[in-house]
Amino acid sequence: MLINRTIQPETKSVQFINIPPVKKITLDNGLPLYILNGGSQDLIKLDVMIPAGANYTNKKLAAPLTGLMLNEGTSSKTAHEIAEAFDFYGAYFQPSIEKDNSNVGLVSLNKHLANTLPVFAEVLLQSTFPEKEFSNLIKRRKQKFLVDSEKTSFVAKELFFEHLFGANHPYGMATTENLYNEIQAEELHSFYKSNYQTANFKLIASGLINESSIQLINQYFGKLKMLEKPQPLNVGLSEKWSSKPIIIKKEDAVQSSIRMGIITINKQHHDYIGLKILTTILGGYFGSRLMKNIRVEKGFSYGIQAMQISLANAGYMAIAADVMVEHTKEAVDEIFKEISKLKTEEVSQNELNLVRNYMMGEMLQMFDGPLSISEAFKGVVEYNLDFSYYKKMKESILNITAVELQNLANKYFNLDSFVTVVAGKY
Amino acid sequence: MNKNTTAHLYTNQLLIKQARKNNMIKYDKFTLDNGLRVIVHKDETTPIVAFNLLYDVGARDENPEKTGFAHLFEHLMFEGSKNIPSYDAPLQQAGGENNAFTNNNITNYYITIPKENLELAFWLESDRMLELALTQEKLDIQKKVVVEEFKQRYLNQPYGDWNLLLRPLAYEKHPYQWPTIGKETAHIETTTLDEVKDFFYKFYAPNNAILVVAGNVAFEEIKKLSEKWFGNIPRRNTPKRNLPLEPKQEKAKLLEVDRPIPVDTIYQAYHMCDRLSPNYYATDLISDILSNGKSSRLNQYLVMEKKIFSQIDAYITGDHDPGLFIITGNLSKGVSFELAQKEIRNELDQFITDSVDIQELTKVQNKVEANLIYSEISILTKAMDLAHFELLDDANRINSETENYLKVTPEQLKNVASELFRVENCSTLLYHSKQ
Repeated sequence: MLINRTIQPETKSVQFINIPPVKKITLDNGLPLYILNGGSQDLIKLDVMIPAGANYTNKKLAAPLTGLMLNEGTSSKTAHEIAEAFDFYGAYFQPSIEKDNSNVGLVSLNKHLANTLPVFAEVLLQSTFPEKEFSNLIKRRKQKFLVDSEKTSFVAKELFFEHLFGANHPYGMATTENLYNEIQAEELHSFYKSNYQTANFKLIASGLINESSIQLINQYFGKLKMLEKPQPLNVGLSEKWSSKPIIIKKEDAVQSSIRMGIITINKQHHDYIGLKILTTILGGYFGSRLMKNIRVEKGFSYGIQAMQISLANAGYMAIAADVMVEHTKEAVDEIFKEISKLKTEEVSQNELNLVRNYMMGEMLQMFDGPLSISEAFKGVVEYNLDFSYYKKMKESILNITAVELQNLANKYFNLDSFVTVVAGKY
Repeated sequence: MNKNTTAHLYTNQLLIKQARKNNMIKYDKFTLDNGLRVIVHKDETTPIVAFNLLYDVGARDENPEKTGFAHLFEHLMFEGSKNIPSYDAPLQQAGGENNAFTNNNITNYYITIPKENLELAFWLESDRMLELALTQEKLDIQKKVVVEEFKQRYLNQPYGDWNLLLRPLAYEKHPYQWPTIGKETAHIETTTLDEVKDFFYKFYAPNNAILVVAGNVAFEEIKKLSEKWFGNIPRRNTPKRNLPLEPKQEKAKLLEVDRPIPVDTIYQAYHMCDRLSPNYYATDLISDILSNGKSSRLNQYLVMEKKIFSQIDAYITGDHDPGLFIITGNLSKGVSFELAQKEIRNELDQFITDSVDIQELTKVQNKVEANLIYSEISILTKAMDLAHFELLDDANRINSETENYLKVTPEQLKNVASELFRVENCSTLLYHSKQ
């Protein structure tokens, strides 16, 4: 059979995304449990979203270290016994401490949930922060920090946040070795009492969720007394940015890490989705303008990304790349050129169409399977939004115009307000 | 080694599978006249189709003077083919995503795409199997990109070059002595267009590839599409693999380097069995007992209790030919290399002298079972595993592999450990912190 390979098979644009309903249950004490039921593997992922991220304390390391200490000892179990209990049933305990929330996850086979959930609840609610485990953890983390500090990518990222948000803002405070020397177990313990033991949680269960799992969750989380909800700090953002690049020289670097970006808006703002589409055009996929320019055409870098990020009290757009030291300056200039182009020229219909289709495909994958759907849900519920956000996103992807995108670029990408950090050579 | 930085991580852990009577992974299989093997797995629960094309070529097939070639070639596969100037654009138009990875054993390309647009994947992949549209300019750019990847991952990271040091120490004959990225950037920089073309016609052949299509698809439809798009690609003369065998290591080896790094670090490599050996499962479980999870031995005893290391890890490379069992650790401040090595040795000796108790063995076996179930959430993982197992010997390993882990006995662990952990079988790399 002879075929004409120059003719592409017909394709259809993705128009429909099956966004499933989220079932909300209220536990006996009023805590919300969101259920995303689906898939065919007999497992459960339980995520507990706790108001205990970096934004709730002015002690830089308190939030992440508290998360890492949770499973280091409880009122009835040693760190070793806790580890054995999860490992024996092939379960995973996954604390992830972010800027706003602490998201603590349990992944377990349903058939072992009656064994793994009690340990999980105990770790969250009855952790004791033993001194010996604490000092051991600090030593390990300090060593890790020292190793990380040798990486241009780590140094650039730390400095970028410090300059973007301000050195005193919990989003921006840089890590130093000294912080590890100063921090005390007691400080973590008191942060734990005020932020974890107040039990102001959001619970999200995904996987194959049956009645008995729900009952178990209610048994362990539904009786907690809820105390006053902890409040995030309210520190103003930095308002002075210098468009001049901030350089950290590293003589032996063979690549420079570039991190640059600008304060924008978060998910609660009606422009956010449009800005996300704009950022995708700039550097959000393999065919993006930055990838084309910096990697595909010039070969300066293995990769470059731009992303629009939402936090509770701020949003920002960030660009990241590790580039050839001898072309660092040129790369920074090219990045600015690409941003400027978004402001001066309308995106062509071809390119816009490509990005629409790409992003719809991405959404289709986002809503494929209970675990990825629960990730999507976590991404909105922390802003007190629901899945209607994604319905809006879908409409926006399909309908946004080139003029609207150009307007957004002009509204949000003020070149003088960009923060540019380079670690390596410049 | 990926085309793209945002790739999914695909590790050997994901290959662990179990036979469950009521939840077998079903698939159908056929072979085209030109030798392309095709496997179809139906999963009605997802709107996405995973299209995975594996080529039986990896860094082990490279000329020792031209290493890093298989991976550089993977990059070139995205630079347009005979009838399709851009690989990525049409796929993105169709809402699809793609990536690829190269390792010492294989090169694997994969696409996930909305079911309605599946034929596009056939069109794209068959055209680049047929013929590439290579130019000197494209080659020059990709050489630069790959050299930057080399720097980003291996040179611009503390300890990033361990793989460049440990492999040639452990292997004297077998091509596993170089990492996928290659021995040095010069090998990549001096590659010529003719060498690239020659490599293509040698290895990128239908008779040297396995295609897996997984998703809500019908067998007949896949058969039709496979014949339509891949059927007329000619069979090619792929050389039969004939790699030098690595002789048994009879003397412990040591390499010490000074680096401006903050922490003393140790790497050890022990030669282990090949992927099809019945001892493979016991070897893998030994690495789990030592270091899978917080309750594992190395973490409990050497990190938490004795504080010899701030971090320590043990794992197997999982290579097709006899691979390596690797142990790597960051020493705690003030701990000497001598003490660190003695403590590791002590843990390894325990496998040789004492039986692992059933509770501990059951723990790591439970983990294997659970990991299998977790990994099957992803349609892409299932497709990759089917292709990989088919290449090894039989796709049906996807249903029997976990059983192989569950059959391992304490006695077997002991036998395997006594050979594996011979003192003479060890190659040690020490990074001295000199700041």
